[in-house]
Amino acid sequence: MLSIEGLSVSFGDHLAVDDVSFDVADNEIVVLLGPSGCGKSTLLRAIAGLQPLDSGRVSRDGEDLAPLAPDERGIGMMFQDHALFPHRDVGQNVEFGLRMAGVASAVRSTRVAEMLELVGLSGFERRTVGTLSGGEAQRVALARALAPEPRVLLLDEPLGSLDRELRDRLVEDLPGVLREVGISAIHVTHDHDEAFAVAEKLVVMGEGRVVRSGLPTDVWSDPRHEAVANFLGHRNIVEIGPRGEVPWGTLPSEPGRAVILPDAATVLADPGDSADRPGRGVEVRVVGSRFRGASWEVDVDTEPGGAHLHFVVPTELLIGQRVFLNIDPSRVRAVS
Amino acid sequence: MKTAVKLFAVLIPATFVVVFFVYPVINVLSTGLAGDGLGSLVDLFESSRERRVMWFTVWQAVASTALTLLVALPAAALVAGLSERRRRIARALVTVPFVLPTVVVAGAFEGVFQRFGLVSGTVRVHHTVWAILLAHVFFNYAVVVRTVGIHWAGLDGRLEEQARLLGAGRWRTFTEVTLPRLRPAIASAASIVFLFSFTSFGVILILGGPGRSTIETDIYRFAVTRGDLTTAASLAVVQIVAVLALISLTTRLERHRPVATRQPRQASLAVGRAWRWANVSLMLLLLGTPVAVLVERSLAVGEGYSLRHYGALVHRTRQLPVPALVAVRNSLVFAVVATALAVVVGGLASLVVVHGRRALSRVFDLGLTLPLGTSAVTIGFGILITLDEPPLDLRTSWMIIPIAHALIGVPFVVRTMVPVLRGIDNSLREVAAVLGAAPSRVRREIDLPIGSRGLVVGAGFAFAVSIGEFGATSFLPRHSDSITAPIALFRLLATPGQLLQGQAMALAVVLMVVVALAVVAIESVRGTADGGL
Repeated sequence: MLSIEGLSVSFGDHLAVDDVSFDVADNEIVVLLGPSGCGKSTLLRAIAGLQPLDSGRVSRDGEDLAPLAPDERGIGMMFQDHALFPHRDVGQNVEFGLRMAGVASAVRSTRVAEMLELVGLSGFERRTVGTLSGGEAQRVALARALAPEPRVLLLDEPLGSLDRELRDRLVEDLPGVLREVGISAIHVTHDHDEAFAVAEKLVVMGEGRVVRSGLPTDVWSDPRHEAVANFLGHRNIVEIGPRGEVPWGTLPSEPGRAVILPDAATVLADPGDSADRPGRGVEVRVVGSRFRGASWEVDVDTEPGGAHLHFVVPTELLIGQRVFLNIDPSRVRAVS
Repeated sequence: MKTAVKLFAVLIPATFVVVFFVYPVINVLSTGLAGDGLGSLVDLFESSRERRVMWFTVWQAVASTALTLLVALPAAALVAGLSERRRRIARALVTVPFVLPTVVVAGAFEGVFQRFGLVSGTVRVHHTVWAILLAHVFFNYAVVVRTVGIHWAGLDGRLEEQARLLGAGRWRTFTEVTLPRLRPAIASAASIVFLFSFTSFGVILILGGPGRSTIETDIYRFAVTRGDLTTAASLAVVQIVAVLALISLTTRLERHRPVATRQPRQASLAVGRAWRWANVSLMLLLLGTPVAVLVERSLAVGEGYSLRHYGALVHRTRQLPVPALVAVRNSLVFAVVATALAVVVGGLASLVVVHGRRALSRVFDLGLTLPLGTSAVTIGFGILITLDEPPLDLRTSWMIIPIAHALIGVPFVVRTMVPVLRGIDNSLREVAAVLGAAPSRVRREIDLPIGSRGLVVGAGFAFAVSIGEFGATSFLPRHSDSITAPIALFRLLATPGQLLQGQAMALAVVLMVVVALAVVAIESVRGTADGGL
């Protein structure tokens, strides 16, 4: 297990990483999620030993890594721009770490072939780095980082420089490859879709601090902080009055700031039906509707109060349509 | 680096530069200021002839710089707009004149004047200031095209597109968006051209004729022709002070020079076909004519053409102690030794500049660039009056020539190595470290292989510089059988007579081919190294 305890790094007066602690269990993929400039890359470099610490401790199975130089830590790292060695071909890039470890040449070439097969690039050994596409370069960088069998792999926005389609595909491949070799990983990204797809555990960072961590589903459905909710893409943040007042009526929830999860709403079958039982539903006017395959993403304005809300519903709603929605109070979470 | 290695990396270059550059230059200074101290300097400024010489030195340098910018800036624009492949070819083409031996260029222009009847008559260029200016433009064209062109090609073309979309016309876009971003590169190129013209030697000695002197050629006249070492030293003091002032100005400009970002250039620099052809024609005319005429003259025998002049290179003539071809062989041997020296000294020094402590890095950076700015004549003169007594009496050693050449070659090695080493993305070193390479191993696996391309390019320049070196060599004591090709060429050019002139042209062509081969080698290596301009 890799433990990060009270880690801080500063540049001059600027505190880039502020008292960060979390653990990475064996074979666990932890995703560090946060906006750019929040200190996640610095944190990663500090764990690798590339960045001196102000205070705190990085340890593996209880052993403090502080006295170990980057080349002695057995930690692999994948850089944002891949940083492939331009003066070496693909095979030489992948075998670099093995050569540093003094592995015999015959063993190296077998291992290189295995690694390239793992990332789906069999036979690429003699290709020059300049001829690789973005996705190929990314996979070579992954193979290179994995080849010396590090116990922990750090990935610094490894998919950041790729286009959307390729990214989506690699997001699906990456956890599989990591699980196949059985390795702990810390994956840094600013994209919450990527984070949810990859993470077994999510650590959300803001301004150098850990603001929320836990299972991805827990973090998403209970962000606890308004900033985290915003960052995860939640849009329904409302102020609930002392007696549960909201702009369109009341919600039986704790007073204060709260986020209404996008799956909280159900469309009532017949609006006329709800007229008989006022209070059970809220009348809304649909102002935006986007088809998402299995569901619709809708923007609505509440008829009383004019609040702007955002939901995902299983039935089609048309722009301009008036419907009654039932909001499930158990899908409303308090945030600070 | 291990401590011993580190120590060697610092000590070898430092010793070389101190013994063969700093000490001789200090000796020149003390000789120039010896006796009645500043008195001889005052005498210098009171002599109307010397005042004229200094004035001429300055104004011909100003005129050369202005003329070079005027002719070469449009070409820089053209080169910046070319495709990657064509840009590499253009880059190699304009670089050949830059590294051609001064004596060869002077000989080529003499050939042009003879061929087109400009030696005498109504339009006389021979032995006028125009001859000097033309040759300086020919030489320094590459400096402007390369420095400004590199920068220009690296500019983000989207800014120009944005300006056009915002309603700026072609000319307004150029003056308000492009030019301000080019200014640092132009200033930097101009200061280099000025420095080269200010310290120009072979061109002025040969093309200026007996009536025209600069500080540089006067040092030679006093020291070598008249044997008046005191006056020569006083002039050298003036020269050193002027050059130091210029260099400090240049480095200041360099510091403000923004790093060109390598943006893939859009074809936003679309220019008229006519303009493009006019530019290419001018380039070919200016750079091509002297070369073409040189080749033509070397083949012309009486009314027809033959290879007789080339054949004559293997025979002895009265003007030379050995056949001209032996002089070429000498030059090649000296160039190989000088290049090896320059690579060792410059390579180690580059490592210190890039990886050394800040203060040490600054000292090395400046100290190893100084010989580039210092006039070759000052270097030769310094070595002449310094290394002539024990413990370092090199007068009788042939090594004195390659050592002087290496001194001039070292800055080229450092200047090409340092940017390459600095340009290595630090994440490459970090990746290597994370993959288990200890710091010394990182140097060996990352810095050395990538830097070695810079080293090859620097070595190519050092080789070309040594082959053509004339200023410093003309001072150095030599045995009659170790004469270099440029010195032999100078002697042949100075002797009238059709036959010897023809031989001189043939010798010049041989030297030109050797240097051109070095440039082609440089460009092919550099091309694969970064693919840029």
